[in-house]
Parts: sequence; structure tokens; C-alpha cells
Amino acid sequence: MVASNERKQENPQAAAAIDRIIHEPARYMIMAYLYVVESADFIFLLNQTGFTRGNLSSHIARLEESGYVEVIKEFVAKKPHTMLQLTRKGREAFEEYRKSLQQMLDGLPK
Amino acid sequence: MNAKKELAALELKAFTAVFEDGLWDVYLGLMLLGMGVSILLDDLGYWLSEYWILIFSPLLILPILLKKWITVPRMGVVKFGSKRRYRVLLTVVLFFFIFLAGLTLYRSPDRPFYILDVPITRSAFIWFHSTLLIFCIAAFLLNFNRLYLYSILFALPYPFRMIMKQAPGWSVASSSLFFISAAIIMVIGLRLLRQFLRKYSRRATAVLLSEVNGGIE
Repeated sequence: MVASNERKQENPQAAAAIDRIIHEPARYMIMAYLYVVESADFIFLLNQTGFTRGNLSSHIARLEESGYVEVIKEFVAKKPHTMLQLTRKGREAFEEYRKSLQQMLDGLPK
Repeated sequence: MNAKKELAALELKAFTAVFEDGLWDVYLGLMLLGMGVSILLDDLGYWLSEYWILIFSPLLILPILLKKWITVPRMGVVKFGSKRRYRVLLTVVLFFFIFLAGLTLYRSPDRPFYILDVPITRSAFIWFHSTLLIFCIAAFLLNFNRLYLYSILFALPYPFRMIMKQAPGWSVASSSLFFISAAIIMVIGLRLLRQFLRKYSRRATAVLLSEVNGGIE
């Protein structure tokens, strides 16, 4: 009973610790895809997520600003090619986000 | 479903998307068709059936090239984690050793000894079980579920041929199951390829690519 009350008190703190950048569903999806693979290009993410180009582009730009996603520009057969991958900071932030969310959900009364 | 399982399912979805194009299906179908044609020609007295492996082995590069020309420009590029890469490598090594073993067996000067001395029923039994096993291992390692069906389609034609060859007058028809199995696999593959080409338009992807490469800063 005491442990349950303590958990409930932790609940608002856990909610406050939620990363707002990842908390947006589209960005969460992008982060999740990049978390489970090593790297992917824009077209692959576009096909897998089903977002529009503009939508995906803006979310990636936001994630890049936050230092969660690294945009790697390279040339493949003399053509420009853009690969995306999570940075170490992004990977840790995603794990932390999942942990915080789980803590928050665990603390909710059943 | 907990979060860990959800992420695993997401990774699986991303990986199995690689097989959506049906190119491997078409290739496997062609391989079986090649075996059937070669065996039929052998039965008709034109050709040696073991040559199919020598003809088809250089063509192994074909699906890889087609993936590069058809799949990648439409679907995009993805690099998977070390665990997934290890499983793919294990499958490649498995097939490489099977290929080497097959080649050694056929090229060996003692070949007639071990091919002809094995009773027909036993060789059919060995083929059936080893093919099932190899394809099921590959299906498991690659999460390529259609390979479970193909394991049966690859395993059956040879024992069928052995049984049919014993029936007088049915020798030429004994290779028919190779053609039927190959046709089933190729129809599945070509259907998947058609769906893939419809789903991922090349022109739309090319326009997108040029915008993207100039767009994301």
C-alpha cells in the first residue's frame, strides 16, 4: 500500500521527465524505426511510416536540431544520397523516454 | 504487447519489407525450372542434368543486381543491426557450403560410386529431408516465411521423379513436378513483383529523391 502511494507520487515527476521532442507520435515513430535499424535513407522511412515528404522532412529537421538524428550526406555512383541514423544521444534519449513512459504508466491507478 | 516486443515487430516489419519485391521467389522458381529443363533434356538424351548447377551458379548474382536496379531505388536503403546481419551471413555461409558440397560431389572422380550406389529410395529420402531442413533453417534465419512453402515445393520433385522413373513409360513425365513447383513459385514471385512495382512508382520515387537530396540540410 505504501509502495503504491509512493509510486503515485512519482507519477507527476515521471510525466514531467517525458521528452517532449520524442513524445510527438510522428517523431516517436521515426525514432523507433531508426532505433531498430542501424541507418536508413529518407525514402525507406517515407515508405515505412507513410508520412508525407514535407511532414517527414520537418520532423527529421526537428530531431536533427535536438541532436537525436544525424543526417549523413554521401555520394553513391556520383549521385547524392542522404542516410539517417540515431546519434548516441538520440539512442539514449529514446531509451530514457521509453523508461519514463513505462514508469508513468506503471504508476497509474488500475 | 510490451514495448520491447513492439520494437522487435517493427524491426521485423522493416526487414521483411526487403522480400516484398518477389525477386528471390522468381529466382528460386527459375532455379527449379532450370533443374526441370535440364533433367528433361537428360531424359531425352540431350544433356547432362548436373550442368544446371554450373549454369545457374553465376546467375546467383542476378537477384542481387535486380535488387540494386529495381528494389533499392523504389524502396530506399536500410542498414540493419549486427544481430540481423549475423543471421543473413549465417544463411549465406550455409548456402555456400551446400553449394560447395554439391559441386564437390558432382566433380569428384568417384562420383558414379556414390551416386549410383545409393539406393533410389534412400537418395530420394536424403534429398527430401535435407532440402526441407535447409530451406526451413533459411526461412527461420531470414524470417522469410514463404521459404517454408518453398521447402516442400523443392523437396517433392526429386522423390516424385524417382518413383515415376520406376513406372514403365512414365520416365519423361517424371520431371513434371519440377515444372509445376517452379510455376507455383514463379507465379507467387511475379505477383509480388507486380504489386511491388505498383506500390512503389519509380518516377515518383525519382522526383522525391531529387527533392530530398536537395531538401534536407
